[in-house]
Amino acid sequence: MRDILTSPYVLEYAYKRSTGPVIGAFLTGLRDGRLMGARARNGRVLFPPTEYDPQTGEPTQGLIEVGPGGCVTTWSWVVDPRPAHPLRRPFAWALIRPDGADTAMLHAVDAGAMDRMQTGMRVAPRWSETRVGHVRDLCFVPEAEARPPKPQPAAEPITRFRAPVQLRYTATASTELTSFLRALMDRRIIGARCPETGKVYVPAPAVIPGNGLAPTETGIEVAHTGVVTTFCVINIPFEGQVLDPPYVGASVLLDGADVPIFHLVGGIDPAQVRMGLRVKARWAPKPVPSLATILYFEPTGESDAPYETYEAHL
Amino acid sequence: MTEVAIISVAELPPRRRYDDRGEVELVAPVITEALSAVGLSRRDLGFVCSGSCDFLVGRPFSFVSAVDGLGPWPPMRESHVEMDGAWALYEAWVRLQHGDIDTALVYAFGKSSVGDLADVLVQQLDPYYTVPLGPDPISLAALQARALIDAGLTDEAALAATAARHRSVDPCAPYLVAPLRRHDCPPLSDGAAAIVLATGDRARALRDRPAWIRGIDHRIEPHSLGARDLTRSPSTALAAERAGVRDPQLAELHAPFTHQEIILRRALGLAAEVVTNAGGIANPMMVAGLSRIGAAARALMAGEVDRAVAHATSGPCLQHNLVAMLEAA
Repeated sequence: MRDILTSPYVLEYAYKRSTGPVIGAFLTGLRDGRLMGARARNGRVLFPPTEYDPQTGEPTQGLIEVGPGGCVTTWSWVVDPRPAHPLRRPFAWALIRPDGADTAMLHAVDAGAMDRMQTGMRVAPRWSETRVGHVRDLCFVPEAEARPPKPQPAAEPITRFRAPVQLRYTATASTELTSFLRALMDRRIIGARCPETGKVYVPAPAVIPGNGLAPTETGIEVAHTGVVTTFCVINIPFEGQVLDPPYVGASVLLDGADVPIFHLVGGIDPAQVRMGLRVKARWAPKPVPSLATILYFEPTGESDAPYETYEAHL
Repeated sequence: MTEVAIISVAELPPRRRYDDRGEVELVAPVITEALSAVGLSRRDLGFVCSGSCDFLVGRPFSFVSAVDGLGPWPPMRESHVEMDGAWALYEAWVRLQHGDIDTALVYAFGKSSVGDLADVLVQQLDPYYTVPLGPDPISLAALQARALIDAGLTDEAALAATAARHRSVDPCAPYLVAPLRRHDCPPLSDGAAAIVLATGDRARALRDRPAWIRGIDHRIEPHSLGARDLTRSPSTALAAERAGVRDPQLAELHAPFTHQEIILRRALGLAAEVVTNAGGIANPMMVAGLSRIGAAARALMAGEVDRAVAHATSGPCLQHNLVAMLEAA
């Protein structure tokens, strides 16, 4: 077996989060250079504030300013900051309980060196030059090094903020998928046979989805030609669309296979595509290790397949 | 209450990476092994539940792909939790309480090697206050370890001694995130596991010495780390009480970090002589908790012990904990 195929892959979500009244007031407070906690019904002050007291589930009773100074209840020291961390040099994570609050918030302490950190030590915010109403508008420092926030012009309360997510992966193709994709680059389409039913599955799976059995015969080459068993015409534009509508997505039952693959149908007016249409693969000039190495399926010009020949494969 | 037992366990040896296997190739072998060990086929199953997390591979509906490894035809009763397989086992146990079916299969898989697990696990945190700061799991666990040290409940030497029972230890290794060193932190692993459950007489018929689940419960603590006492695990203690944990001879604990074993032993009130395995050799995400339950069941089925407690955890700093009391009779 040659090495398996891998591909870089990035997952992104462009979330914008609405804050609700309590988190919004907290973030507005950060923008204005203040720390806000929430008063619980039992008199405790929760920081950072929540809409509900996590101990009782009761709604909290409004916001109250806390801090800005406070103490470290526990801490850890990051030797080698990660890209997602708020500071680029070694720093402490700490749970920080501001004066007047009964619970603590996770944040970074820019202490310079680990031996300057101690549980119970006093810290206070160091505010960003420009505050936008976000938890990164501040980090904490030993209290003696803290400075008051620079005043900023008043602005609307914070109700939303951008919270993008980006995760990087290296996708790996399994042994079977690697074999399928490598064959595809040689313009061969391979499947595997189910030991129970004799059906040929394409792409060749490691396990037959219908019964969980391992295929007895693999690497079975099927034809480049087949029949459109069913199809749809995409008329609706959507974000990230690659092709211009209208275009046709179809289930194509390749000759020699018992399970259709999903692909595009081209080289024909979408209005003329029909069930039973005989098609053949149109290969990309340069092979790539994906189904995109088939650009689309186009009509062969043969007469349509009778319905009975593919009705068991719909 | 319907009596439910674990009658079969299979696990893929955890590895740093299983590059050559997708979801199907991870789960199919353990499903086949667990079923064939008790002479069952896929079509005999009354219910199937799996545990996994799509974020690990970054593929929406990765768990649906895994269902192909089950061979679910004719259509099966199937469910999934986006959690460790231990919670899938809990759902299957609840489903068996209905009394209309007598077998269930539970499986779990995790392939964290294709992504950056630290970045992925940040996504389980509070999206307003915490995610934007990007704290990785080791950083958060280190806060808990520090709290435990400050409370006088452990020290770095004791952590190293705990780690030494499971893996090689270098007490002078540099900190990853102080006070945690490499030997305090779980290795990254891919893996998969499967467990077969059966009720009452069906369990007795299929297995000589079933591992009876005499109690199972899970509890969760608040999301905000600063609202919790990190030196204790009240959720574990309550789950253990509700599961009726009594006099276990063996404890299989899911403690990804060394200091968490100390917290869990206290929460479970384990006597010093109780043999404790914390699964420190590997930590396949979404599998490790189910794997601890499987390890406890294996010891019972093999006749090594008569009573064992198994534990699984989820979330940062032992936020969510499941406890099961397993007995031989």
